[in-house]
Amino acid sequence: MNLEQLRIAIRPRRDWEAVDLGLRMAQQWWWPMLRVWLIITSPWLVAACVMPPEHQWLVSLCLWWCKPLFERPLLMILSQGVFGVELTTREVLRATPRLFLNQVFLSLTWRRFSFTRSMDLPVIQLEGLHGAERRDRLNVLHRIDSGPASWLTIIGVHVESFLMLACVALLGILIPEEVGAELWTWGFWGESRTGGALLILFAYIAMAVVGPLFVACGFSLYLNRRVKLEGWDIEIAFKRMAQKRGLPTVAILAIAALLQLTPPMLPSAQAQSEREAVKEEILAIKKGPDFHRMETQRVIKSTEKKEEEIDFDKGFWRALIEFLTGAGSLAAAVAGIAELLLWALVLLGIVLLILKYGSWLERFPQLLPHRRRREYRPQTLFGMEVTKESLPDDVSSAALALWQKGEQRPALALLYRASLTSLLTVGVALREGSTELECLRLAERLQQELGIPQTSIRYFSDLTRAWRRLAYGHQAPSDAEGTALCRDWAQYWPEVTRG
Amino acid sequence: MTSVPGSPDTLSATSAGSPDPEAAGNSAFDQAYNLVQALRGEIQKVLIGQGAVVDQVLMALIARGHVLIEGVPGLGKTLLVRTLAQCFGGRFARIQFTPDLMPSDVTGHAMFNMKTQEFEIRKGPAFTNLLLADEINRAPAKTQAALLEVMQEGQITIEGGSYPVDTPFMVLATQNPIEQEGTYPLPEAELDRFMLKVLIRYPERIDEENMLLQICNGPAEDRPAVRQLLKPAHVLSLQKIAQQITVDPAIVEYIVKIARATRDWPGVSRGAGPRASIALLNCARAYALMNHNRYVTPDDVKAVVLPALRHRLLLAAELEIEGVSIDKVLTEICQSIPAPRR
Repeated sequence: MNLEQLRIAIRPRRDWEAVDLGLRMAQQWWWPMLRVWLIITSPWLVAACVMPPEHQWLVSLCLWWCKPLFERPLLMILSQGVFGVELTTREVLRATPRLFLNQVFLSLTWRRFSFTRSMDLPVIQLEGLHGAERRDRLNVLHRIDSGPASWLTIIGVHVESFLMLACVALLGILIPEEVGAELWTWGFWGESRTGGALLILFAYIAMAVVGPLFVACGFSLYLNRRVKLEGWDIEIAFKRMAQKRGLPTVAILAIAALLQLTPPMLPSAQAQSEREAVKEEILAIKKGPDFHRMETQRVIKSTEKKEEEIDFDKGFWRALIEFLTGAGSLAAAVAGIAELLLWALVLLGIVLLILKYGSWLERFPQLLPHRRRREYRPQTLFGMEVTKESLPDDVSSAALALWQKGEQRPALALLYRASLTSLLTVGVALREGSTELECLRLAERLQQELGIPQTSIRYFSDLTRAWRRLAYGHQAPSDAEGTALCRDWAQYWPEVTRG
Repeated sequence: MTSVPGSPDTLSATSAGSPDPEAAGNSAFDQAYNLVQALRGEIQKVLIGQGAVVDQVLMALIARGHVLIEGVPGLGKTLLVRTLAQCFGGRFARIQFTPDLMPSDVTGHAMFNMKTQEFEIRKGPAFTNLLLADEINRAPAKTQAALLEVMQEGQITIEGGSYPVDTPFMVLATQNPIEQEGTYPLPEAELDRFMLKVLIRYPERIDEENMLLQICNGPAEDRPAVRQLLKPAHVLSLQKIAQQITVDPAIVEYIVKIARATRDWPGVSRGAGPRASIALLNCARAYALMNHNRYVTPDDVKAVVLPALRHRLLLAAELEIEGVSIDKVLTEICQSIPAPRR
């Protein structure tokens, strides 16, 4: 490490001043860092695009989880950059696998949730410490000026979230009102591939913007701490002086400094007496009224005798201290285990809560695996049961039987209910407030995305028309039309069968 | 009067009596639909790029309601009303509301005739078929209230005597959403009497260009001539046909649910009253007729919720401060009410 090559001004800074420096560093090496970040994260983006909508959440989760790995190449660029070494993208990419593998397991598990990640990363990557050494080193580094490291994480999370929401809002603003493409119909929460992919894209953009800033600020905090600990500024000052004055000057200075350490030469007796006289004169003046102000203060003072001091070296006290020290170690061990247990309990509680009150997850179906999404399918819709179990084994035959008995309305109602159940089964997110036409339009819109056959949609359109005419206009379809609707149901919606 | 596809002469004849009542009803319905389409087309020839506004005004006419039109100056509010009056050949009166306008300037008054030595009634401009109350919020509440009776009862009381106004009777009031200085907001009772509140917005670019081209190429008086398509009596027939459109009890239940939801919705200080439910029902029927539906569906109800309810809701201060619009609240309410399936 050659401190002379440092491209940043080295001096002890206050903590937030160091963060400021980090932002300037990020500005300086912005494009190299962003380029590398985009290249190494692009597989995730591609995966998000090709994944089916129900699995997109996995990609976004994985991208978020692996963020500590993506920060390592950025730190490499910065750490070389501050010493004047401009790495090419190719060099960084070549080193990336090695950087990724360094303490990868701990970084992605226990340490993933560390708030001081940005400041700790250089200890692993640049100093190569691990285990107890790493812990001790971090203790030293965190002693002062490490507060902003935690705040960086908190602020970063918020900025990322706001950026993501801002992207969504910007999209909403840019779409003219007349187009009629309301944002809430885009299915950001997993109803459609486009909505899910857009949300991942926005999250990706937010991460790309925040990532380099986060790493640079953390690195700057780390550098600042080392500057203070190791006196880099003094070292650099000496080195610069050496360059400026030349080696002999430094040598002379060093010799002079050495001489300062030797006892001074004894002065002559006359000089000594003069010095003594001057000293006494100075002391006399200092004792005079010009240098003193007399004040009398009265305070209450306890007259009780001081307690007898305990001699801790005596046998009993020593034993007691040893006992307490042992008990303390035991208690610390027990407390450590208890803390772990408590965390486990908290996690378990969260999981149980999600399982028990998981209905709110309906709003965020992309968070759920496909199987669970189906489980959260509404049981009733528009006051009707829309489950497979509530339907007869053979919907067509049952409806046809009703129709032939002259019960036209129940027959069409059964067909319509069964069709809605089928639509729900294939993933059309029907809402309580949707009218028949809105259900039809939604099915038509999602037809290609969900792979619903065109013929099924056409059948549903005919059924909706007949149903609306019967339900609201009280006009039954003709016998031929009704029979055809009953008979064709099974042909167009074969997925829904009992069990 | 020009002959149009759904001739109003046959419209009244077929609706009066026929050997086959169902066939006659269907025929009258088809004619009514064609007539409405012709009327819509005729007005849109003059008022370009405001199709939705024209539809809503026609809907109110068919549903026997009154309309409050809100929009910045120069969008054709007065032109719309004038064209409508020309199309159906009814009487048309316009009152420019000003701060010094008196109630008797609207309704009329009793005047002592020196010749006959008797009081005689001088009917005001409100005795007409179409009444344009221009910039209604410029007059004080006293004058605005002069319209309360005529809008609800269809009659005006002068000096203790009640005088019915012509039928069909429709008030089309306009107000300007900006320039609030020196205006008097309409009282709730007055607002509630308007069946619809129509928002008139700037036309699309292409429509505006067409409008200018029409002026460039058209006659000297700027506007194409409007054909008179029907008489006041035919409007009454249209209204009668709309009244006969089938409404399933599920639709009635749906309408009531929507109206009641506005009363309990968080952030809404004052919800819609029963008059709003009636307005929703009548509007939905008119909307169904205009779309050639012989029965009302939940979609028809949803389509008219915004214009029929937006002026009847009062948002709480916190929502106002947050900038939440009434239309947004109404949209949310519609999404939350389960659509009927029976």
